[in-house]
Amino acid sequence: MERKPSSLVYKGWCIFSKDLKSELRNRYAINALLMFAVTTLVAVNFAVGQFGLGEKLLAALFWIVVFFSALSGLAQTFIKEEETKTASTLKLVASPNSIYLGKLTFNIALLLTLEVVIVPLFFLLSNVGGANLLLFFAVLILASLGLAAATTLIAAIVSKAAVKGALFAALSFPILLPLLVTAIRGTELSFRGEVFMSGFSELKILFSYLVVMIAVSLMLFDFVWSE
Amino acid sequence: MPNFWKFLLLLLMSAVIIAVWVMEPPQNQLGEVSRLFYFHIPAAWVTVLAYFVAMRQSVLYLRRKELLYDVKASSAAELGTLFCILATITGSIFAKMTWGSFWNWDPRQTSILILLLIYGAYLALRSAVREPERKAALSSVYCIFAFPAAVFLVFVTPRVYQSLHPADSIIDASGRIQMPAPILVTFLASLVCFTLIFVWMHRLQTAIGRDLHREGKL
Amino acid sequence: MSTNLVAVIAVLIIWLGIFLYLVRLDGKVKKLNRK
Repeated sequence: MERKPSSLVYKGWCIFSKDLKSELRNRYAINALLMFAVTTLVAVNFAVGQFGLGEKLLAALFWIVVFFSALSGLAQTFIKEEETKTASTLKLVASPNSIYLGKLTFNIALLLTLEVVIVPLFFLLSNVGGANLLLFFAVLILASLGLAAATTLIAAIVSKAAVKGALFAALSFPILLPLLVTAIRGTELSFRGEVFMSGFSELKILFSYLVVMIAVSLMLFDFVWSE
Repeated sequence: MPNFWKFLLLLLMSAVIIAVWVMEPPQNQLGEVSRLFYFHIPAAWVTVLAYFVAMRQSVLYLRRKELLYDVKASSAAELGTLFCILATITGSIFAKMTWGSFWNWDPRQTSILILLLIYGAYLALRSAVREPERKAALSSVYCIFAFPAAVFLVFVTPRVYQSLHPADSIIDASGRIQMPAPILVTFLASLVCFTLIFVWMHRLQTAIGRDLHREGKL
Repeated sequence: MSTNLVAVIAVLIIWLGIFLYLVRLDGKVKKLNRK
């Protein structure tokens, strides 16, 4: 079967927009994400009060919030397919690679939407004066892409198993740890207001993680998807 | 005689055990605890070996779709978990005796913990799927997928945690760079024994698994 | 020296136990394979 690159991208885009439309209708996943993130953020800041946390803790807090929100919401895109039984139709209609790309794009969109809300809220509640915003956003974008890349495949795996929620967390955690650690380190540097280049090795790692995860996911996705 | 090597294994391991205590502790400044080194490192080595075996069998399964490969992969993973727990425990005991606390986020310690988490996740995944082919496919994919992440972690954590803990250099610097002959020999013998034990257990586990599968794995 | 002796004997016993267990398993597996 002929697979032109344009067809791959086109089909991926179709799947993405279908998911997007469906999500905009009932906002199930984004609600889960936002609810968790906002609650945690507010709760922690309330508990900490005026005292404030150091840059390291703030960076860790930020990524814990994003990370756990992701765990609560990013598996939806596949679980929904299984639950509404549209999975088999999808299999007939598009190649595994385009499905993966479509779902990946959706998860990225979901994550970025979450961050659009969370980042301002975070800066408002915590006292990070003098942060290097360029570095912060560079780390944020790369790490979020990597997060979506790694979790999309795992979401596909989990959608075919039982006990989905807890399993998703258990499977994702070891795989996301290098990403988490590096992202926290990079964000911490940005909060300290360090020069952009000081975070360069972290950015390199985040970038290579992203590339590797997508490559490996593309290779393995077919095995998960078709059976 | 096919069972000759098992008899040799018995003798060799016994010799190792005796040697471990008869000789001086390998690192005098650390004292008696350093004897753990003869068991801890081979256990960690087998953990990693088991993971590679599991990964290779997973790849073979995905290529050829024969459930025997999945049996081999899961057997390797189960044994890997066992040895990983052993390695983590012996490592923590060593850490407690030398550096005062069971856990330090030292890069090596963290790496073995990650491996334990991956093994645990792998086993959890298997238990969450009932159909054998799906179980095999999903766990094979996960086993392979977890590998690059583990590699990243093993190379990333040392940089991040370097500022907190140089503790590991004590073992590496004096343990590996120069090992006097008797220590080296005993250590290598222990390594060989652990590997043989793993191979034997793996064969047994695979045979049992294959048999369970023939009778309708439950 | 005597603590070392105790340790050696204890570990040797443990090792022997493990070894004999594996041999037993081995025997059972061989019997299964002949079925």
